[in-house]
Amino acid sequence: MNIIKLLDKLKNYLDADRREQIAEYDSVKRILKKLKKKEKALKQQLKAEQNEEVINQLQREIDVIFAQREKGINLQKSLKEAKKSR
Amino acid sequence: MIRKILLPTIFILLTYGFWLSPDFKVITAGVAIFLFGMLALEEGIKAFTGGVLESILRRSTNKLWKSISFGFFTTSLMQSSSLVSVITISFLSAELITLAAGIGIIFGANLGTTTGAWLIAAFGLKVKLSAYAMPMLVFGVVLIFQKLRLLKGLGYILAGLGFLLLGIHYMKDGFEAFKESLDLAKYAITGYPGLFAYALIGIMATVIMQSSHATLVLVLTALAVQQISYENALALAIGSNVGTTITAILGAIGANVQGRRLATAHLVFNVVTGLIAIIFINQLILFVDWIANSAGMEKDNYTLKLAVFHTIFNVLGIILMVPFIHRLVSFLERVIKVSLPHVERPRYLSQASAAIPDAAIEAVRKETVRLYDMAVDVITHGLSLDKKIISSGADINSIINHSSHIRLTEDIDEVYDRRIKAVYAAIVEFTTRAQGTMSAEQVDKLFLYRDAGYRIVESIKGIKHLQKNLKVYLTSNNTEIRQEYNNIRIQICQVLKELRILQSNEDDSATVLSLDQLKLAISERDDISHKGVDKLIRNNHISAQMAISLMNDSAYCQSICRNLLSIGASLFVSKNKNKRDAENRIALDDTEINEILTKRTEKANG
Repeated sequence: MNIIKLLDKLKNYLDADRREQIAEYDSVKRILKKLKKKEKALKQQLKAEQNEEVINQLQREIDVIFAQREKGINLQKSLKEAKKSR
Repeated sequence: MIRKILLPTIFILLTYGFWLSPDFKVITAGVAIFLFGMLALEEGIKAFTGGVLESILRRSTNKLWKSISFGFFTTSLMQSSSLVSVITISFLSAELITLAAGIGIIFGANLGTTTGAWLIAAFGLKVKLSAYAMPMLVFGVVLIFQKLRLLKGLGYILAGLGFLLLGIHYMKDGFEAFKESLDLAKYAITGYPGLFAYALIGIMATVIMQSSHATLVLVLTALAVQQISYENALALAIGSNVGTTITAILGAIGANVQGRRLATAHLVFNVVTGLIAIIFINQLILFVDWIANSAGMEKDNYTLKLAVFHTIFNVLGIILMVPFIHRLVSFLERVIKVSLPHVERPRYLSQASAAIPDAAIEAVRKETVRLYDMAVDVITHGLSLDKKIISSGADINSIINHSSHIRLTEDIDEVYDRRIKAVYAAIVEFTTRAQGTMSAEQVDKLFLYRDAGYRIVESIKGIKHLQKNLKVYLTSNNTEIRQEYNNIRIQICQVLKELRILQSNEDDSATVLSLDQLKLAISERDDISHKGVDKLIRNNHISAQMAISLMNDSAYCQSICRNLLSIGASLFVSKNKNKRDAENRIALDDTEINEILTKRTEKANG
């Protein structure tokens, strides 16, 4: 590990706000990963489904997850930028 | 076990009695009519509550002398202390007067009843109230059919009084046969045993004839033909005064606890007064003689002397009992207790946890979750569903659409008062007390749970409104309207099911974010149902009246679902703060949901 990386770690450790920011960033990242997985599973399910009512319901869920992911990705970007600027 | 067999046993005994004696049938019918009159009277008095009657009664009974005067004048006017005591019990049951004021009226009524003895003595007059029963009933029933609340109330009062008098009349009629066997000379005993024996006969005669006046007439007749001695006649008068309380006791059967307390007070007053009069009978006789001499009455004018005695011993009773009136009230309150229904109590809110902010917040969260669980019971019952439906993996649509057994018997108001309101009130009180030592962030959290509690209460109110039409339309022959109401049930059930998954934490992928798709589904359903209602009316599938009910109830359903989702977002969030914050920031707001809805509608319309 080079000296810059070590200093960065120390900085993170000493700055509580920054530590919180990182934790939030990680949480968003984890949620997005889960959402992506869920979206993928729903899409698979949709392909196999014949019942129109269920199709509508699955599509609704996919639409919502898509919007949540979009919002989450924007949030992730802003958190990343904020993290860099400190 | 005893409770289960009590009612059938009473029925069997009554039937046997009816078969055995026609008089018994008349007497019990009289009691039944009398009690029915009490119910009608109370119903009528309730129509006048809400202002004028309360203020009149309050003003005329707010001081002891006023309530005694009130009792005295009304009894003198009506010539029936029994009727006044029964009406007083009705006032007390409707919480229009206090127990102390009621006791004052009873004291006054006892004095007022002595005017009857004076009337008999002076004019040989006896007012026969039963003659008024029939016209009262006729006018009363005609008034009951009126739409105006006050006229209706007046009708109930008249019909109630009519039934009371009719009931008394039947009881008297039924006892007529027993009256013949009352030979007053049969028990001629001297000294105190004789006095007590005649007092007992006086009690029995009044109970049988349902009128102390009738007993007094009987006593005077017996005295005139020297069947009984003067002392024994006085003892009979004392007994009649005690026996007259039977009407109040009968009246108290249909009354609430306050009514029973008043009837007991009446009995206590008359028994104590009677006992004192018997103990000091010789002194009282001397006093009566002195008054009779001073007033220039003839020595053997026993009728007037009896009236004087009757008045004196009742005045004496009032003088002796008035200082103890408040003690009597507290004694009655102690002895005859209000049996409160089982009211749910908070389980987690303790004095100790209120002092520690984090413990207090956790206690409020747990209590609110418990409140939510109770609410789920009420909501599922309110929708005529088994609670298991939301925890099982069963298909909600198919269960609801194929269920034909509709049972909407639970009184939501009663459950709300007994379970929900009590716990929510405790949460409100606790949060108010606990926030004193909290930081702004902690107070926000506390109020988030308190708001969830409020939404729980609102959801139950929504179900209550919804239930009114559910009862009608779920059993309707019109399949369209039935389906629409089933859709409402399905939607609420789906929200409850999603919240249960979230609450149980069984599914790792279920987070607050899962609620967003329900928000969208609710908005979509709102949109579809509005268009659907138009279509149903256009195709003559439902009437305009049904459509209005459906639109109103869809609005209730929307509000219930939104409240439930908000409750879920407050109560069933992740315990990890970072995760919770991140989820809340990613969750979609109303504008974002509406954007998706617009896009989907556009896509569907091509």
